[in-house]
Amino acid sequence: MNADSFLIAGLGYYLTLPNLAFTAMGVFVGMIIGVLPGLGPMLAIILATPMVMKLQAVTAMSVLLGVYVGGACGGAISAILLKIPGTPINAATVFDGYPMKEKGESPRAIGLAITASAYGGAIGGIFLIFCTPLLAAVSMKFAPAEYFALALTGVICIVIVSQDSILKGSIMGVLGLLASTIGIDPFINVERFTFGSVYLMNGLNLVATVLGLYAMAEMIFQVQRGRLSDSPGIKGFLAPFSVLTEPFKQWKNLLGSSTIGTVIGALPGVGAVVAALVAYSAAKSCSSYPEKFGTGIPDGIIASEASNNACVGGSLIPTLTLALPGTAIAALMLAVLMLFGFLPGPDLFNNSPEMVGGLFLAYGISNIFLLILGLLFTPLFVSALNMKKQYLIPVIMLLCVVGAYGIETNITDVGVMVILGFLGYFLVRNGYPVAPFVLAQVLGNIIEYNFRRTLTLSGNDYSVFFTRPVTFGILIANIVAFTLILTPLLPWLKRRFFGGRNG
Amino acid sequence: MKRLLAILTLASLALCAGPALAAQKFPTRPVQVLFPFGPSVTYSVSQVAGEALSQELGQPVSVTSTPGAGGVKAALTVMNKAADGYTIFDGYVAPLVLAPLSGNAKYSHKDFKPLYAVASNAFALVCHKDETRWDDLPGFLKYMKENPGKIVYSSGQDFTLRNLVIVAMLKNEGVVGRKVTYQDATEMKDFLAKEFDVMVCNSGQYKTNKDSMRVLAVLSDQPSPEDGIPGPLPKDYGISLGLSGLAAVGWNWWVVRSDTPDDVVQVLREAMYRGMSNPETRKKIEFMGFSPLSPDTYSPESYDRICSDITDQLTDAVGAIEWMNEQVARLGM
Repeated sequence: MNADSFLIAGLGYYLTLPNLAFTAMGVFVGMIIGVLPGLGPMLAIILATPMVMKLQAVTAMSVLLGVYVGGACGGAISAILLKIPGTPINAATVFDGYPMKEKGESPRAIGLAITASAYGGAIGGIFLIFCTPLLAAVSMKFAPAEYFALALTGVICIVIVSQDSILKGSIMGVLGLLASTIGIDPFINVERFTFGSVYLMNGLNLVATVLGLYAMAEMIFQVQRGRLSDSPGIKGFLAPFSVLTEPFKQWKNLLGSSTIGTVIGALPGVGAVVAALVAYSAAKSCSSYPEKFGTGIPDGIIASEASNNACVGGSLIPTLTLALPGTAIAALMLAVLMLFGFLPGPDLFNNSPEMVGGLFLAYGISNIFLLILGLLFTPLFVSALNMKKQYLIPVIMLLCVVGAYGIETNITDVGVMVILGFLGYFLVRNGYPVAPFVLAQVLGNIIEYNFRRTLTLSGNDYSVFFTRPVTFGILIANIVAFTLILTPLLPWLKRRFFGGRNG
Repeated sequence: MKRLLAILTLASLALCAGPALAAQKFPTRPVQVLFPFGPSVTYSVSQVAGEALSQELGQPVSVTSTPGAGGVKAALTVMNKAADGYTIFDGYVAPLVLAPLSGNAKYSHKDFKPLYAVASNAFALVCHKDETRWDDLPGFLKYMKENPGKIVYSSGQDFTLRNLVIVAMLKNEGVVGRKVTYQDATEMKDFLAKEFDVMVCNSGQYKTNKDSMRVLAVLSDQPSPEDGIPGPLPKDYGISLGLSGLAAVGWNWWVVRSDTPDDVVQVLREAMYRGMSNPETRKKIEFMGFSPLSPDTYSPESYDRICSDITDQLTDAVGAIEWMNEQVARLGM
């Protein structure tokens, strides 16, 4: 069967008024949950699952897909308005989103995040519908050696996104890589840096880390700055109409970032955090004005948001075709699909084309609802966060505590968040960016585990990194990129190490 | 004066409401089940059981994935929560029996009060559909014997039942292979891409990708259920698995903290008995390729006896992991 026949089969199955209404509801709930720091789509889907089990399968999946799509975008709103990524996948949106808010362009920035997300998601949807077999095949070509090489590319991206200080950014990146080693080594069953703590057996929780380093640290800054009876002073609530066309004016960025998001989403185990980072770095590297990235330009928001929403579509490809969930949320969706009696994998496409078509349509229409509801409710989001600091700070703190606790209903996550909050405050105060830490923490395990897997598979033969064409190609590209990054540093290095000696 | 009256009224209302609240029947709020691994097909089985329990209790039952340390993190999290019956541990064999054996946990199955067992699922040793180097299990073992350390297999982390079952059999046969460790869906992806030779998979993994694999053996001494993995058993070839009964298969038993009040445990047990006896629940579990365990056979009374027997069997098998690691190190791989 081809894409058209799936869509036709899905039309009658999905396209009913209740299904559309439930999809819209899912998108709206996802956006709200995404906006609230710490309460990401994962938590929303866990909580929604028992409720949607009473619905028909396609309706239930539409709600969950809507939550997934809405949640992936909702986190951008708090990233822009509060400098707090609602979910870890919006971390790269902070780079340009918050500076735009500082310039008094909040509605435009939010509008761009919504349109870029919807367009990125739609492009991801087109890939999902028409290129599923191709992307599934590409995903199969990625073995541990390729994952290792690709994750190294991610590390180079850390350097690219280290705004002002490459050295301080790199230090934070290395610390993030070290933090990723905390926990039980799954290969040899040995505890690493857990100090006997049960909590640390699974490493530092990513959501607690992001809430601490971003949200808590930012709230401490806000308190320190005083003038608590001031409101954030956001001017204008309506997103300008120009945001509808602005992403198209940067069509190369939009298309490139969406493609990166889809492809990375299709690789199980990488995820949207990395997708957004890589897309942001790629947009910056390919731009004719890279120095403006991080100062509040639309390009950064478009890259980050288009890619993380396209990643949703990408992650559905291995989930549906091979029953291989690309992300933890996709794994939950797979579980729900099975609860309804649909077995993902090749059989799903042969036996239930209407379900496949229904899911394709639900995903595509979720992105349309995201565009409509997002722009419609932008004033609501902006005005809700425009309250006086003396009210806003406690509300955010409360949400962070609920969010951190809600991940695994573990109070230690709250403690970790508070500790990292103070740490984040001191780091940022001294000019150390926190984004490289978070991103390296995600990349660390991918690098380490896949490096070790590669060597197990090859029988400790290191030549495998040079004999696999894709791995070798990515590694060469990494070396070239790294050299290019170091080039501007050469005069400084020369001065630092040779200039002083000569002088 | 009015203010005083209002305070007195509120105080008397609170005094009246106190005993009334205490007398309310358990449960009065949602119940949480801690699933010890990341979301997967197995997670769906626990969700089915959670749904069944929810219907009987009249309260939502959420299944929360709390992965870490082979399930030990979830077990310890439950032990650190209040013993009020609102937190149930989805006691898979790995954290409940294996982790204490491996020294990864200082508790034992006796530190929990049992409700009912949920489901079991046998593991299968599978190779690629078009594999030509061997035809069946004896052929595979012969190949391994002739090529020490050449075969790469995947069977999860060291102290999981999935790994223990295969390693115990390989040790019995005196053959050595290299284990590649995965924790997520990339395992099946790499298997399908033929990055390694064989894997030990569960029913869910088999069902979703059965067209790409060939079953060498179902690693059990019991025939598969109707919806389980079809295939020969090792004993059909005269090969010993070294484990019998539930010791060779994965299973989960829902348990609560041992100091949970008996009346609360009774409510949970009665609800779970009805839920697990429900044909609809059993049908859903079977659809996923798992065998629902009979609440009459796997009752709270039989919990200690069954777990103790499995502990004895697995104690011997744990040594096989160390043996395999030593053999691989000796081969310099």
